[in-house]
Amino acid sequence: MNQNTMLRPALIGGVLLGILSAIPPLSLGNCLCCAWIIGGGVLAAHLYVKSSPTVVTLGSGVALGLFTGAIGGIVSALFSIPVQMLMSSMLAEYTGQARQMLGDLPNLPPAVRELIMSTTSGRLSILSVIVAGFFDLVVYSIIAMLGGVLGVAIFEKRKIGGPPPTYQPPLNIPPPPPPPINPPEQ
Amino acid sequence: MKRKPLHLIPVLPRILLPVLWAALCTAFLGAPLLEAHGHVRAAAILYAIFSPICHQDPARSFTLSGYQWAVCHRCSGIYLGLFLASLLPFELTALLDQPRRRRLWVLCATTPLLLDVFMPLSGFWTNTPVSRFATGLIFGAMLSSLLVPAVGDFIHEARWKRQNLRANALGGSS
Repeated sequence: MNQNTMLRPALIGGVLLGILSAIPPLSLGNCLCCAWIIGGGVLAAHLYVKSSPTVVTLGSGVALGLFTGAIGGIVSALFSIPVQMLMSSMLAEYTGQARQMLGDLPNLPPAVRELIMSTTSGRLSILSVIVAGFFDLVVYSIIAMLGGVLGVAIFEKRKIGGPPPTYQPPLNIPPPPPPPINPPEQ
Repeated sequence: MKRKPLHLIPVLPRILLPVLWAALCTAFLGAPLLEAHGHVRAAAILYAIFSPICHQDPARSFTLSGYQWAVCHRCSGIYLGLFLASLLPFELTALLDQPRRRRLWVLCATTPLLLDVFMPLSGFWTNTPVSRFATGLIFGAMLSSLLVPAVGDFIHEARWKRQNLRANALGGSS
């Protein structure tokens, strides 16, 4: 496991999965077996396997997936703040009407009424962002871990204990300079 | 680095992973039970946790005590597959040692799920609750078969690295 070489694939996979999971119409892709989250882990594993000179183990896939998911969770939480603000301002009129209709319902349990009112209030509290971000971090890390392992299983074609990579000299080496011509001794 | 054989995995993933998947299964099965017993707020939190990663369509979810599970047929199959396969006392070492066989195993377990998802779009096949659950179960079991040795490997590599760092630090100080 090399954290330095893991950083770039994890960043690419994590940022991509975080953005795709935060933008509302695109985030529906996660309804298809967490496609973006698993896909982010698989992409990170593919990039890591491609760049690694040694055999990548399934264990490295676990580390890479956890790392990718954590980055994705943070990116998703940060990205969802402007998206939610935009959505709440766009849907303010509709949520106001819905709240009024719910208030008129006679047999709604108080707990349900309170829950619906608090979720449709349109306010974006720091606490809700932190709590949602924490859950994103945990859930995305676990699922991206599955993607990382899956990616290594698919893309790693080298065998553990196989022959080590042999050194291939570059083909376009210029010819060595001719030996210096010494003047004849007298 | 001297690597341990894959079948000699540590005990930790054998405990850690079943506990993790059991917790997830309890969470999605607990949501309808909590709702049925009047704990609406707790149930709503559990439904909300699963909402970013599952569509939670009532028509595509099992019910318990009259309320839908917190995840759909396919997702419940995946999570139950992960849990049940992590309880198996043996490993598919013969499959996982060879990269080619490992890829074939991934392909065999993923293809039914992808066909069950995309075939209805062509009109040749209509998926059912049983097909959605079964394909999810196979996919989850495959993931678990990879994950148990993978987490064992991960712990082993981390321990080896820590020991190396400690040895280097001791060597440097003397």
